[in-house]
Amino acid sequence: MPASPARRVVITGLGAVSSIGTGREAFLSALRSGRTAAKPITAFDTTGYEHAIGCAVADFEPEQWMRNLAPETLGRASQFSVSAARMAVADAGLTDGELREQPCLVSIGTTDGESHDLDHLVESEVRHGPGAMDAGIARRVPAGRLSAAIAHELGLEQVEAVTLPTACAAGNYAIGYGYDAIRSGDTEYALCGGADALCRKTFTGFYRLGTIAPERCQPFDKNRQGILTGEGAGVLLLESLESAVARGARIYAEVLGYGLNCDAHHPVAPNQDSVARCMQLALDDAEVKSSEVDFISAHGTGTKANDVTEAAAIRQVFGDRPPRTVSIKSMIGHTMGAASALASIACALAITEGFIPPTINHVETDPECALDCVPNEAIEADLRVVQNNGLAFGGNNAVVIFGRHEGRTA
Amino acid sequence: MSESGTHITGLGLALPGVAEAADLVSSGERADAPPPDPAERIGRKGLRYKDRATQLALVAARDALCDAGLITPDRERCAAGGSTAVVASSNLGNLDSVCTIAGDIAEKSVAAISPMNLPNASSNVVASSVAIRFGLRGPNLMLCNGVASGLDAVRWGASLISAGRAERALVVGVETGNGVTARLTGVPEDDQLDGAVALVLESSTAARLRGATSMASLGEGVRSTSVAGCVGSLLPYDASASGGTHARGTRSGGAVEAGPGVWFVPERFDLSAPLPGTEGLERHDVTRTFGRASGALGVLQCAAAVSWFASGEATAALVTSGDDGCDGVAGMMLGAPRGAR
Repeated sequence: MPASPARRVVITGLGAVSSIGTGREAFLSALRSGRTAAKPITAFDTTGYEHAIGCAVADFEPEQWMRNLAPETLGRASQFSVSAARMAVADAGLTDGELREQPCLVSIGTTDGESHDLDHLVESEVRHGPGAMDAGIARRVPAGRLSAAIAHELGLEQVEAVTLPTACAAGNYAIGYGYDAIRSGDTEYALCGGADALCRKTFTGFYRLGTIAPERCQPFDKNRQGILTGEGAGVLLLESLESAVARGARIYAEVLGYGLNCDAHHPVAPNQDSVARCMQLALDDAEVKSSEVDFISAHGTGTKANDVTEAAAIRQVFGDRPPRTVSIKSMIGHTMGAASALASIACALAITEGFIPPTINHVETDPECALDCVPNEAIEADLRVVQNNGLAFGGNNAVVIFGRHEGRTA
Repeated sequence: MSESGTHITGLGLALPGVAEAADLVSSGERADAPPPDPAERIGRKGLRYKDRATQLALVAARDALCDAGLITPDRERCAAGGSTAVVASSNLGNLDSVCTIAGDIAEKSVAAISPMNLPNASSNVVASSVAIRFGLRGPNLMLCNGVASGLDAVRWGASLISAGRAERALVVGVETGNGVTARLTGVPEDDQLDGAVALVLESSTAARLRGATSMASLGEGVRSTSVAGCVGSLLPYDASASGGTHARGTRSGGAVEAGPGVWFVPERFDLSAPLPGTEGLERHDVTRTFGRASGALGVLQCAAAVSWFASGEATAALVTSGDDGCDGVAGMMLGAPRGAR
């Protein structure tokens, strides 16, 4: 452990690329109004699938955000991550020069890396032979690009850039690592989050498990039918409280702590006790009582198994009167490695703006879940402590606790 | 060596032509050894539906946990599993599974995809499969971070321990050589590592409490943009006096007091290239023996350092992964256990 007292860690910049809005203001407005992005998938050929609705980022223009790298040298997921990082840096009011002066961390989580490119490479190999594989696209595939490209775009030299393929909880893992790195004084700024692009391999995997909803995603609803796959990126800029105060930065929220664990139980089925244990680890790490949590941003995929298991785990930790529990996946779909990062941004905005985003497409709450999921309409709320759950295949759980900055120093 | 800090207390190897850790010391060209056979090493049970990277990782993980005295071959469930993290590193690990699935969808149909194979297409399959088999319920993650990934994984394991999030971490580096990885990387199949290496990292307190023996201590880790920068910030020499450039980079971890006797250089590094501060250091490139190791490299280098310490060849080792043309260079110092001095 570091000899000096641990530093407090705050969020001062937000960057969101999402199917319901790109940029902080557009994302915030969509969260408040409960927008949906579900549309027929055009990112890949869906012939042979009975249904193929997804949440794609439409009309994305990476050149609007990227200044130094040529967009075509990056796969779609890296374009998302670099653009979101650019937004977060600008939102934090930092210049590239100021960022370069300090040791930085870039940690980006993902499920598929550039599997969208791999889909195309393999398809052209299957149809036209190995010689048909595009070398330029093959160079974009290494998943390490998701974080390394951010360092290149920003011209960072004092940087540790890591890509975490911890699947659907990866965004929270990335934020947790950034929190530890700043807390211990190893780094001054951390750009943390996650990115993924729609890909046929993952869509098909979930489809073959029977977990893709035919039309819409309805977390915690009695008649929920599964996930919709989505895409995008969320990147948060973290720094120490003293640094943020010294430079007069706007503080969205404080990262109070986090918990990680592994079910060590089953490749795809979540485990209630273990998910509950992860939430408790996070609360303990944040030194927060469960009764202090004002709302939970759930993993809430909209599958039968996830929602009932997660709800039971929440009740195990929070008792019979759990806090409101929402899932923004109802709006943006399951954005895989970006999911808990975009949800973290939603938590930070909720704390700053004083509202809880809704769970849309809600008709009737599943009595087995029995949670107040803030159905269909956002509500105004004075929030001090918010919990963000991320759960992944392989039983990889990551839970982060955020707090209102003023609320905790008063 | 400092009595505090993070130590390596177990080592597991699934490498061609390597029966025991001491075999790592012998350098030279790659032997024509057969690839490791997971079923032969740990039995067939539990290997069905697992891809090769996962199978190799399970072999190395089993041996590292046994070596550390945390499990036995007959009793694989780790009693200390609740406080044990898993950090796996692999850049190409399940690329063959992912491409096979993508190819089947394109060539055949949606129905050609078996749900049983789906977990293999999940990017964290190696780390989670290791956790499930041995009951390791601590933090669990994977890195696919390019050439520095293996050393980053070692650092990440140490960081989870020093932040109090786990008492120990099983760090696994694994890569497989096959037609798919060869086509996508351009590296011939016979020049790719087909194997796995696992280390048990443990806080000195946790190790002492259960009477575990240190095989090496982890020193400072750095990340830089060049080999010279990385070496410059790790080695105890005066960079300004010798005209070298000190790295500006991120650093973490403890200190190794002794100067190194051996330098495990980046993959295919010029063994005779002059570099200030490294004069007199024996240079060793593990990839000349085992093939290009990609995401497993840093873990393999740390394992090699352990075997050097055991042979009494060195009291401290410098490890670097990645060169100037890469996205980043990672470096770390390792120290021999006190008894070996």
